[in-house]
Amino acid sequence: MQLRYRRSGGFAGTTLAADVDGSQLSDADGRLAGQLLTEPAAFRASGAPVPPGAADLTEHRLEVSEGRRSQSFRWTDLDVPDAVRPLLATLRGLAKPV
Amino acid sequence: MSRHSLACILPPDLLVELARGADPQRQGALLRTMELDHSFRQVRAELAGRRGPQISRLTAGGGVPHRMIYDQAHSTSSHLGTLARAEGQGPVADASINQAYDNFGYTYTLYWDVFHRDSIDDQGQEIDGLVHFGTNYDNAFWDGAGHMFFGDGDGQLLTDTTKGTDVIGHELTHGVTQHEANLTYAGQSGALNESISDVFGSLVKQYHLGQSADKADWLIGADIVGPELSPALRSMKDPGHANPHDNQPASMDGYVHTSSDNGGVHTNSGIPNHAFYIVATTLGGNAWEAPGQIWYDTLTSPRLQPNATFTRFATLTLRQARQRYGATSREADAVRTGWDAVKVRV
Repeated sequence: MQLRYRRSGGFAGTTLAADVDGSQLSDADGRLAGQLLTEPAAFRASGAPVPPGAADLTEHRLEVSEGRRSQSFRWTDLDVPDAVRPLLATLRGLAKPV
Repeated sequence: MSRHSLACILPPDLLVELARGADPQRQGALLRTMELDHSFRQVRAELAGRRGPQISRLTAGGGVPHRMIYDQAHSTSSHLGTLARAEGQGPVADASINQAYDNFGYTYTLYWDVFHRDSIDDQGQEIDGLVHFGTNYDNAFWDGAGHMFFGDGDGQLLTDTTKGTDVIGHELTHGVTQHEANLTYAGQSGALNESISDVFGSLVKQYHLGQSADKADWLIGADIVGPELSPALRSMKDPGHANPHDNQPASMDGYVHTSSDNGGVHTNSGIPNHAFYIVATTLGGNAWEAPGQIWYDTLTSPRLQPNATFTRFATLTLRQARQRYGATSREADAVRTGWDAVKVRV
């Protein structure tokens, strides 16, 4: 399984990137990554839509792929599902500015 | 109808006098009028009583911020956390709470002292700062609904974001922009939205420190960067050179076309940022004076539309400079010089 994470925007405006092999993840993160691939609808969005006029929100883009299967996700700070936050925190820790 | 009119115009004593000398039919009408009049006056008195504190607050409140700083306690909920410090309350043990409170105060002061603007909406809007958002969250943002969120930083990219006077000025200015031109947060209008926040964020800091244009560092985020983004996030003086990862262009020659970050709003903002820097340093003196006034006049002009381009914004700054300072003024010349330097046509 491969994970491609890109974080952009935010007040800093710095883009961070991490390309991670699933074997690098903890069991919990690996299970979640698997769920993202098999049950994507459950993680598409959560909470209320971002109000118009919002600024400096961080945008998270994540692509999870394995073989022929691939799923892409796009969240902001305000609509990241709580269940995904630990995985994003892991990916954030591995990401570097580009 | 005429009875209601009487009730609005004639004092009660005069109504009594008129009723004494009137025929029975007219007397009855006048007495009903007096009853109505009494009801109206009572209602008016009640309304005045309710409005009283608001009127006195507006009278005494102009020039005084209404800050409310909440402790989010590392939650990622967008609901207000625990109120940690309200307007007029003294410092608390938490430095981040106090920094947010103080920096919002400096921001309010610039807008009030220099532009006579009463808070975010110019109507004394409460200033809500939500501090300690998330865990090691390296960002600060305006949520579009009247709230500003601040993370503690991860210590590598960013540190405590409440430390930055320019950061807090930047976020509050997003609220001002939303209430004025409401610039669409994408592409060139989004980059203008970002640039305006950098410009006024920088002016908040310069005004607070009493720095003239030639003494200011023109850096954004210098007080909140971690080692990975040191020494600053952006440079209005030298876009693209604030840190090793800074890719801001300094002119239209380097305009970045991208789908990332809403079309590079934090990248292409370097172009109007640098134009402002050129205007300010060409004129000399304090940047919050003529340069800030021209930018503020432009931001609050009904001519500035949400989908404004760089060229449209630049043209409006020149128009405002000519209108306020004269068509052949050095201020208007400086504005043209600034936009010429970044290759935006006016």
